[in-house]
Amino acid sequence: MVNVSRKKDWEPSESAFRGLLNWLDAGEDSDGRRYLDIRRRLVLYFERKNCLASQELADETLNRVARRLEEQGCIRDAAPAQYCYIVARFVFLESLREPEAQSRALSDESASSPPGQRARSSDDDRSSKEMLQALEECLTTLAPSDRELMLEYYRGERQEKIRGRKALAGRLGVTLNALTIRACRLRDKLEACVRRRLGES
Amino acid sequence: MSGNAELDPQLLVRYLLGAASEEESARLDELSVTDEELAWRLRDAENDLLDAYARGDLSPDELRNFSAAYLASPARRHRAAFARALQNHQLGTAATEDPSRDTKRASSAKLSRTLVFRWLGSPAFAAVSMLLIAGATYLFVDNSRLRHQLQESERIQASLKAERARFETQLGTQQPHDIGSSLPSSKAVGALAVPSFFLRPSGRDAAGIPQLILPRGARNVRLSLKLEVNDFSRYQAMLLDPAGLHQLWRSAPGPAKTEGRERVFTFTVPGTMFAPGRYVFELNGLSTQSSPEPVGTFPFAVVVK
Repeated sequence: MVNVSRKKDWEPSESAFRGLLNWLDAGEDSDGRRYLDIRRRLVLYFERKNCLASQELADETLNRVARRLEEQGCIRDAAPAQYCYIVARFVFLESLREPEAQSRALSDESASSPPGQRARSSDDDRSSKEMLQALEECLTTLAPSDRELMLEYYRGERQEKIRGRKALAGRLGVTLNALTIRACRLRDKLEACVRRRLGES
Repeated sequence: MSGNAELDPQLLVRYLLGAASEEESARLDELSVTDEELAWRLRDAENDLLDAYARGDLSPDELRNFSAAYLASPARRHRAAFARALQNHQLGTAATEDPSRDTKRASSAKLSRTLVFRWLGSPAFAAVSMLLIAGATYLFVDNSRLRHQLQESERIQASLKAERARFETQLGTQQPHDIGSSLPSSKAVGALAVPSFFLRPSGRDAAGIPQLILPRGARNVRLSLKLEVNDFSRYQAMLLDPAGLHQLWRSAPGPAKTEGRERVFTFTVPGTMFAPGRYVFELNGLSTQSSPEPVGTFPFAVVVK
């Protein structure tokens, strides 16, 4: 049984955070990559659960894991990613009981309204243009090879797209799986860049 | 290495759309955190789903689930808007390429894929269609100038008439659907006033969405939507932005009519409604007894030249 206490105010000390990094690395020094990977997966997990504060909930999950590590020295109940998932489930269930969950649901209703019930506004036009402009600016910040990979990977539809990706992987001398990861990372990077340029942080 | 390589890609899509079973969802919830490879596959499937949404390629069921389940969070709506921007960037890149030059270069395959290959899958047809697209677009955009030149020079007139007759003959022998709706009808080429397009409802087996090439400054665009059912006395079409799900314009209600062997609903849209990008027409059947009933969705892309 995993004991996950609710201590939102607790912030990890430097040594506690270092202990978390070491535990996630499981003996290898990944230079923080494992931490970033598991945090990214947790953010996406909470997003798929339609949590508004997915970033905060991912941090809360990892804070709780760090706290447990600091208190007990080690965690042997489960592998690192497995344990993080167990804690994340508790954090998610707790978030559902929070008062603002109701207002979140209400504020999200507009997104699922039928198309005919939503009006177009000039703000939408403006934001579309700003998004495209931000994307084009962010594309120029990528290395030419990365920009080419990004645009080539997401070009086309269905069979044409699949054929294109296989050919691209062949040209670059990497597996399709490795290519997918590179393309997804680049897309994440571009999305983050666009978000920053639009001031959405 | 993941032990989940056998996972059905369609299961990932169902999961992302909130349409997987409870058991499947619980399993994928866990794997999305604990299995690195599966996490990336899921991310990749999500990006492809977003791109399909931005292109207007989702089936009506998928679109409903996507709107209700996927777009429920601001972060995901931002991602959908990003996907649309990426699609528009890709479309813009394709539209600015010069087809006549590209046909002579090894890189011509890129434009062929974008504009033609999706419809026919045949290099021979792609080449023919490329010529048609280039010719029809040229006739549209340069109509006024050409008419002036035709009056002044018999030689140019003869040449252009011959060229035009050739294109019209080719257009006339093609079934409108064989080349999607990427070209205006031959009637429109002759009239050079209101470009006309024929659209079929979207289907899962469709090779891609039609691309409408509009002359810059077109005042009106005439659309004919093919009816798969003819159960209503009147119909109404709504123009939607697929990324924002916003209604941009709606037609006046009216009856369907017969064109050739097809039942169609025809209407005219102000040309100012169309910027380059993706759109969807949603066609509703109207009756006095009940509320409007969706009878078809018609995704398409607009390229302005």
